Amino acid sequence: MTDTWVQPTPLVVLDEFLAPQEWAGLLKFALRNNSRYASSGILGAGGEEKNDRDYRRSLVLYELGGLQDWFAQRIQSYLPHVLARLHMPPFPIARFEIQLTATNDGQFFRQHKDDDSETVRTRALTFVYYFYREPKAFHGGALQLYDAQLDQQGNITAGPSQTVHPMQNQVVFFPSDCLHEVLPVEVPSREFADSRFTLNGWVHR
Amino acid sequence: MTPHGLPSDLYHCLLDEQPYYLVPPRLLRQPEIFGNVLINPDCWFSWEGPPPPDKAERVEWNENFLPSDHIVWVEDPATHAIWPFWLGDEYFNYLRTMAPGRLVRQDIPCHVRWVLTQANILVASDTANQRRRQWEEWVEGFAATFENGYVVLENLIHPFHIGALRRYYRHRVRRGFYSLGD
Repeated sequence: MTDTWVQPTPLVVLDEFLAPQEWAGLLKFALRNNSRYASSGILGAGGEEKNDRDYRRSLVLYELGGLQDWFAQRIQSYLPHVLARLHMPPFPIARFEIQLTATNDGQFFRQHKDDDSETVRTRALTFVYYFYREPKAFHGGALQLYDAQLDQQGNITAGPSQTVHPMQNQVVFFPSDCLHEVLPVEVPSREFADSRFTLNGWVHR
Repeated sequence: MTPHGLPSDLYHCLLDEQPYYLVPPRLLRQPEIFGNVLINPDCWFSWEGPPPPDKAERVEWNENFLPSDHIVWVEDPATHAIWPFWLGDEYFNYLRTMAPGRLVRQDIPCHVRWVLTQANILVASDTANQRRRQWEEWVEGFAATFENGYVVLENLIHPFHIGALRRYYRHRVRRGFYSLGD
């Protein structure tokens, strides 16, 4: 007789998500705006943003200009297919939240859920689009997604996990209430342009 | 590598992992089949031996195709194009015990049945005639439009291959296999 119950985390990976010219334009944008990135923060239980370098290290660009709406439309056009494969019922979309993240040498994001504080409770679906300069100049930076494990006392802990390695021009979708982390990235050159870049965000219900 | 672990630079249209997101949704509308469902008599399972003579002369293996022992080749009864569909373990396990022209097992899951129907591997007894009639109507439409001096020929490429071709060429263009521009 088992004493735990495991809820597997559903996951969808789409390959060659953007056309080559779109991918090249996005990379150019990410590199050209290198001076505008800010240190990434985390949200406290009350929704206040704070820096915790033991928990999350990366650079984030929040102001994306026209890129925001363009990428939101692209994500939205794939949602029926993605939600069906995740076995998530369709939901009315309140808004998209999108940011550009550069993760460089030694940077990471420890275990967390994306909807774990009051101000982001409406996040329903998380997406992470990977892109980087060729030839790839970093190692690591895998996304680790944990199944939810429920014990007989009702405690939820991290169960078995699946690993998604960052692959050029791929996008990953998963429910925002899933426990996950970004494993440390290694960038031998430490150059910003060699970072692991993601255009990542959330679909709010 | 694709999410299914296959090399992106070798062309394949894998039924186990269709890139639907790269296919215009209006093209994925093969109607559900009711009543008796057959394995298309005009398809050929590569693991059963060499292709029949009438198909062999029209099937040419390209060096950029992903080598595989498990491919189903399906002939379009209207255009006579022959489309290859690669099978991974899941789909091969369903088709390995079946044969062209035979009735289909009833225990195939819905999503597998849908994919096999879209690929024209599962057909009704009159699917070929319907497809030929539909094609003749389109050709008449093309001919009428051509009186204007040009015509857009649609529905020549199987929708699954549109998705697979998009993925393949996005990868190759991005990796610099081609010099683009004048």
